[in-house]
Amino acid sequence: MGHPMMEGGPLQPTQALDLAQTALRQALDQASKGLVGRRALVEMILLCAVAGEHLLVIGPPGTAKSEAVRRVSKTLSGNYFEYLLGRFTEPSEIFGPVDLRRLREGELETLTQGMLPEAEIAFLDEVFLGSTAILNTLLTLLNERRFRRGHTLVSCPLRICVGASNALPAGHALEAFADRFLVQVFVEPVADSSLEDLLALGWASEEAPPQACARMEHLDLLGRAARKADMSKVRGRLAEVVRVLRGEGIVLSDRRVVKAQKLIAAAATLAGRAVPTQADLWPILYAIPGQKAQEGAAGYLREFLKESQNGTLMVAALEASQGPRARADSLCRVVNALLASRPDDVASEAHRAWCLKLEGAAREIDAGFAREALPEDLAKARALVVAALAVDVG
Amino acid sequence: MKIPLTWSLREVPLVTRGLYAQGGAARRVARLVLERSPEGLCVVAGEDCLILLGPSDLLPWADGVVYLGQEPDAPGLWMPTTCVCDLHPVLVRQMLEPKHGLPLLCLPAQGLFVSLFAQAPLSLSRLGAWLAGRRHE
Repeated sequence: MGHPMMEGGPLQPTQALDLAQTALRQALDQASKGLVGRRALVEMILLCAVAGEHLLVIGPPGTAKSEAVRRVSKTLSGNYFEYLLGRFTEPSEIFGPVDLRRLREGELETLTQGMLPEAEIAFLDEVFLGSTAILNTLLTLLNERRFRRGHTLVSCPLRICVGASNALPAGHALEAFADRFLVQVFVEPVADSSLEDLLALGWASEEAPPQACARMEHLDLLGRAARKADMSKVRGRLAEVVRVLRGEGIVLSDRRVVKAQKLIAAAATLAGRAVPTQADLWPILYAIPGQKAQEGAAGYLREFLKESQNGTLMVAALEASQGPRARADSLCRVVNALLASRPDDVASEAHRAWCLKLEGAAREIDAGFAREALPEDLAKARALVVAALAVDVG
Repeated sequence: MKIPLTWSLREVPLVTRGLYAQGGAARRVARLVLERSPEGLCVVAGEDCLILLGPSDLLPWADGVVYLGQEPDAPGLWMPTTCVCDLHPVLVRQMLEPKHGLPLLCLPAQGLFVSLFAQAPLSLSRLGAWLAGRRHE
């Protein structure tokens, strides 16, 4: 298959950007297909990859943390490295073994083939269990995208490293290391009401792994566009947000505040905006360290985030802002997906389950919006749902 | 001294934990509940209205149903998920409790206060009888 960006001659910059956005949306959908309740995590992984920042996911074992990263990597055709760190993990297990032939010649070089220094997407489970030797080398790799060890000095193609842990670390040294992961996402086991979906999708995903539908070039193109974003319209609001957070005792390091701009710019780019607006401020919530702090901040920042809207990262924007626009976008997406998947056999169990899901969507719309405040697109979606239920349920 | 209660649209809806249905919507809801026999719902039945309380995914949908939630700052005070009183909810509860008791449902659009004190676990036979009584109207 030819590279879509090369077929038919060179593309205009806007065409190439549109193609990249479409490819990434498809990658998002593919990566999320086999997962329940992890769409926001997948969206944040992609956002960080475009922004060139790293992500920490905190949650109990068995909550699909590594599966989410693996699926993203497959849909992006990325060079992937994954490892479960332990207290006795040797640096060579992560960065590569020492080249013995060169060592005999008196030079300490590392064979990095297939190891973290050559990865484009990486997942490190139990990331805080690594030894000082590992974490120190990792710091340089994460910060500078360079691997330095003995005589080996290589540039690393790493777009994103996702670290995982059951809990945030206590202790100043590890907190400093955790601070290198700009975004923190907290995951819980799937809700009771979604267990049937989890069982069905989990079974199906074994048989149908995600398909590659984007490339690193798409990611890089969007990253370059994000770096050129005009932040002037949104800087003032961002500064206000930081002041509000400080006033409530939530202090972001200067490094976090400055780097949060990369997330905002990336969110705008993925939403198709060259100039970030207030609709793109929502990623700041994910840059706040600590689950309680994020939950508290969601309340304090409600007014700032109520305009949040992102056609590509709908669920992450919704979960950050709970704003009406983000909720409406998410519900429209759910309704459209349901209406497109109507089972033909009205007597089947699948049809009955589908009707219940459609009812659930109608319930969320009516519980979430007063009739007079329904956005136009959601009102249309509601009308389609009501019509479908009238036909199918009677 | 009378203090008027005015209501606004809530920015973030309450967690859905019940529904209020009247007339045709109430009969539709009753039929759906009888078909599905969910466990874990409580009911308050009126002359021409039905109130169901329980987990959101057990609550049926029908056009015209009003979904309900409990004010987190004033437990016992129920209202439509999309409404918020312009007065602080604790004050509202203090004002209404002596006259109406708790738990209490406020329905601003209908101009009603409905006591939920008499809520009872759902009985399919009694709901069926309620529906049968309404079919003849």
